[in-house]
Amino acid sequence: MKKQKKQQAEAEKRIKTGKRPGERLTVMVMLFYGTAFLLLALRNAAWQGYALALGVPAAIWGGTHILGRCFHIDTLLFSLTNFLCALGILILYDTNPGLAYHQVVYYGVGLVGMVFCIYFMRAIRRIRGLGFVMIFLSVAFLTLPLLIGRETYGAKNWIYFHGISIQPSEFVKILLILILAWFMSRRQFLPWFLCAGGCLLCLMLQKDLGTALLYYGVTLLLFFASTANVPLTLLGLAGGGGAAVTGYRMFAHVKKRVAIWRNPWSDYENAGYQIVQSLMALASGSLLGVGLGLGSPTTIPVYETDFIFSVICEQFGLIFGVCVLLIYVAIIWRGTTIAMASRHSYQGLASMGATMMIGLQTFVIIGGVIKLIPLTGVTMPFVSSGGSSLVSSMCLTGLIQGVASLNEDDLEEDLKLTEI
Amino acid sequence: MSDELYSVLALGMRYWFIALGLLIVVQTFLWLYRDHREKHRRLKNLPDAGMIGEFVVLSGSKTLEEGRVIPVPWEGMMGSSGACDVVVPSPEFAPVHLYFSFVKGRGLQIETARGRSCYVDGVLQEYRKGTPDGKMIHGSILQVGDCVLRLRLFAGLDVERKAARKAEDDLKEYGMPVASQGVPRQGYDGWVDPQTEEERFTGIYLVKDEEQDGNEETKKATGGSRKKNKNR
Repeated sequence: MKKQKKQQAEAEKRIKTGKRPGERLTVMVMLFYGTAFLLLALRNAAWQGYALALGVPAAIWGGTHILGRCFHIDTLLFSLTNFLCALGILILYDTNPGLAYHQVVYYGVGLVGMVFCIYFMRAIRRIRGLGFVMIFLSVAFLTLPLLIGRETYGAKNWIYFHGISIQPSEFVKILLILILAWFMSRRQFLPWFLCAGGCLLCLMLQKDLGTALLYYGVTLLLFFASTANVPLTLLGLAGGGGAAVTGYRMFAHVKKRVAIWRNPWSDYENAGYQIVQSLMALASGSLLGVGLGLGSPTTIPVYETDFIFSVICEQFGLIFGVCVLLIYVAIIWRGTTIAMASRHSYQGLASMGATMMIGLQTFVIIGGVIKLIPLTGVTMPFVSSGGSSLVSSMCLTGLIQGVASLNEDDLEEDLKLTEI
Repeated sequence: MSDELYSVLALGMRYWFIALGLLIVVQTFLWLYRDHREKHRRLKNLPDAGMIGEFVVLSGSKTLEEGRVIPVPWEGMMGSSGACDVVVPSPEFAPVHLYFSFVKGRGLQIETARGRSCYVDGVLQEYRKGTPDGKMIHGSILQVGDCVLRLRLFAGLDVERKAARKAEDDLKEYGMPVASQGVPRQGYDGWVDPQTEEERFTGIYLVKDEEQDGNEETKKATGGSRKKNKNR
């Protein structure tokens, strides 16, 4: 009994002082990036490298401790997202330092977005009339690339504004999750169905099939999570399969991608070049990797966005690649736990939706890179280069963090009840 | 630094990075496991965590025996379907009969599903656009067909207690009899039936002490206290 009381007192003291049992994790992440950036700085002999070797670990430590004191944030989730973001900056600094500096700026913007989303989840517990405004905004944002966008890699999903390129579908992800969570928790079928349908139609017109797949998958998973209706979910799955077959028949570039997926070596100098280079990078990295800063990762086309996982595996090895995958698994596990612990269905569904979005996106891109599924043009969450992707991923984490902090508030209230 | 020296250094550092990567993963999963264990420990201490109250069956059917206690979460669906948050195994209830959500300081808001109806404290509630939701407070009765359920709220107990103290002080100030000075009324399964509006809102009744059988001593308690529920 005494031992139990002592353990409880220690746990409470740890919580009060902000010390969590996994404090060591933050130190390890700091150590990892401190040494990695230092190694690259020694090669380049550039002051920026030394600045990153000091700045990145300091930012990780500061972010974890300062933000942890402002809200009841989930420190583990924050440490893991920090690890992945810093990994992206590290790889980009090695291959293209210019992109790395941009990525640092986007990370800062992402942090602001994350804090905003935490506040949003905490302050606006009921969307009510805002739901319809969000539906309008989502469809309007997705229509923009069709009107003023430019075609990039076969899809017209980017808009350019004063030298800044933005992918609206990345930000609509967040709105879509909030809309789905709100209307599904209210059991109002028509608004979310029309919104999801409208978004998918816009994405089909943009030929952005990778994002369409993500939207569809998340909608279906959230529908199942909110209703537990197996027959309708299976029907939706069959409908998705039918749409995929129709897409295959309608779009020439889908046919091409499926053909490359089945046998990339048949046209390895042209259409299959990207996937072949990726597979060769994975093979040359083997279990232990070729070493940070070595190898030839830049030979893979679009290595900085879609194929960044191949670069990681080439330089750090397959064992480290599996570690990165396990970190994604841990993020999904944590997000699902937070969603299930939520006492309000809207918040639970929002957290679940954000987790599913990150998980599905990771599966789609890594599955494409390792030739498990046909390749679709989506980014690797937190790691890939690009402001839209990084900021939206951080905002998704913000939604999960917001729900986590609300859960902690509820638990504290329960503890107060026992003290009466 | 020369390229050769850097290559040697980078090759050597591979093991360091892999070791750190593995340690980070191990530490992450240890953290997840510890939190999982801590959550279970907390829930052990707080068996009602996540619940705002419970429905007690006053009158049921063959499948819904009298005296059964059904915990109520913060919000969700209520019906006979297993997918509902509050499952009432009675043919009187539709698979999804009503939606409920707890609003602090206001009680449990009830919204019936399309084509369904129920009675809350004798007032008919049915699905109609523009009509206000039904409101259930501590001690309210929900009736669907022959099934009668009474709501006991745990959440907001501190607010109730503060309100009760204030009401008691006000009554004393004006020299009026306080509810707790009245005759104790023992209702169903130790449940004290609130008979006046004041009792319902303040939560002050006289309750016979269940733990001291045969002892005539009575004590003042707030309605639906958690301790009493656990003992039962």
